[in-house]
Order: sequence, then C-alpha cells, then structure tokens
Amino acid sequence: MNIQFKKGVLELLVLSILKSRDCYGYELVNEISKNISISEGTIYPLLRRLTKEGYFESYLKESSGGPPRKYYKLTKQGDSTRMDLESEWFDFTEKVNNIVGGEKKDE
Amino acid sequence: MNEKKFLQILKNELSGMPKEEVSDILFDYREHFSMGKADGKSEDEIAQALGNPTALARKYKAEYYVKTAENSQTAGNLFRAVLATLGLGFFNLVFVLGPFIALTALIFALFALSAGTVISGIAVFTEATPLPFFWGNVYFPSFVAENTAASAFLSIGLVSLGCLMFVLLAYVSRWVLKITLKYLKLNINIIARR
Repeated sequence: MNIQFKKGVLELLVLSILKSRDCYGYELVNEISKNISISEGTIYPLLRRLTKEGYFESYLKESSGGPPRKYYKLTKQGDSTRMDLESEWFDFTEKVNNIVGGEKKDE
Repeated sequence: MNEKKFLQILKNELSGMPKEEVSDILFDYREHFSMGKADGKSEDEIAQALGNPTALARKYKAEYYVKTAENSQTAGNLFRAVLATLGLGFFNLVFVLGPFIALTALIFALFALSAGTVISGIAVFTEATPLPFFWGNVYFPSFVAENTAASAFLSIGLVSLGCLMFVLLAYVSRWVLKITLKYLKLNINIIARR
C-alpha cells in the first residue's frame, strides 16, 4: 500500500485500538501489522510523541513470567482527538469513494 | 542485524539527547525484542521488521528538538530543531533549509535596520544638544547649529521609529518562530521513510 496513506492513518489506528483496551507496544505493532504491512519501528516514535502530547498515559504492569510491560492507556484528550480523526476519516473516505468508484450520485 | 547491533546503532545515533530520554526509548525496543523472541522470531527477523535504526533515531531526535523548542522558544532551540529536521532527508535541504535561511536573513536585516535608525537618531541628538553647553570645543555642521529644534525633533522621531520597529519585529519574529515549528512538525509527519 502507498506509504503516505499508511503514515496518515497510523495515528488513527493506534488511537482506535487503545479505545477498546489498554495495550503494550508489541501488541499494538502486531495488531496493526496483522492487517497492514508497516515498518514496525515507526510505531514506537509515534507512541512516544502521542504520549508527550497527552493522548496516552503509560504504566508498567507485571506480566506472567517475564519483565514488566509498558502499557498505554487512552486519555480523555486522546479520545476526543480520536473522535475528530475518525469523523474526518469517514468524511474523507466517503468523498474519495464517490469519485474513485466512478458512480454518479443524484443530479 | 542482531538485537545488540540494532540497539547499539540506535543508542549511538541518539547521542546528544538527555540520558533518561535515550534509555526510555531503548527500553521500548528491548521490550519489543524480548517479546518477539518469546513469540519465536529470530533477532534478525525482528530487527528487519523494525526498520532502519538510524532513520528511527533521526525521527526521535527531530521530534525531541521540535518539542523542546516549543516548550522553550529560543533561537538556539529553534536552530537545533531545524538542524535535527534536516537530518531527515535530502528533501529537507530544499524545503526547510532554504526558507529558513531566507527568513532568518530577512529578520536579521530588519533588526539591523531598526538598530541603525535608533543609532542615527542618537547621532543627530548628540550633535544637537551639546550646543548651548560646549559651544567652544565641539564641532557641528552649520545646519544643525541653525536648526536646533528641528534636529532635536528629527532625533526624537528617528529614535522612536527605531524602537517601534524593534518592538514590532520582536512580535514578528516570535510569530515566525511559531510558524516555523508548525512547519517542522508537519514536515516530520509527512516525510516518507524507507
């Protein structure tokens, strides 16, 4: 897939996954790369940036048989950004589809 | 590339950033490697999927310096932010460095102009005022001697004009700094990385 497309939606993907549950970095990477092939390393700078922007909080949690993992949790601010991005995304894809699909809407 | 090599390159390329920042970043990748290995992947595979550590480090650096410049808006911080962003690719030499040099030069020139205006005002003043006191020993051109009031007003006018320009410029340069940071952020997010 076009790299610019991916970069644009990565933020929305991460925010949407964290909406449903808290995740650690590796989990997020897997969740996303399962569907879309990305350069996995780029998730971490993104997580770091969004944490600094106040969209996530991170906390360490013990895992069964292993070192503690760093979990990310969506904040209120993060959630409102997620909603903005989501509606923008739907709006955008709808408009693109109108043209790309080539079907004529009503006059 | 194995884990050790990957982390080593990352660490080296991040040098210059604060220690806690660097160890925080390395923590994330160590975690990633250890979980990948627990999933049965080889170090090589994991490193491959993560991508180029040098490019990753440059991204962290650019974001870090832009954030720092945002929090404390000084010329030095802005300069570091611009430099770090330049590291992201050839594209930026054209689309960041060019405009930045032009803008910096323009602001610098305008500051010099306002300073020059103030100085010329002071120069007129110092030549005009000694007149009643040091009549015998100071040289001044005849037109100043003839128009003391006029040259005093000219002097006040020039100094105020210079100060006004200076204040306006301070506002303008603050604004330019903000816009530059916005542009750098946009740029970091847009630049395609292999």
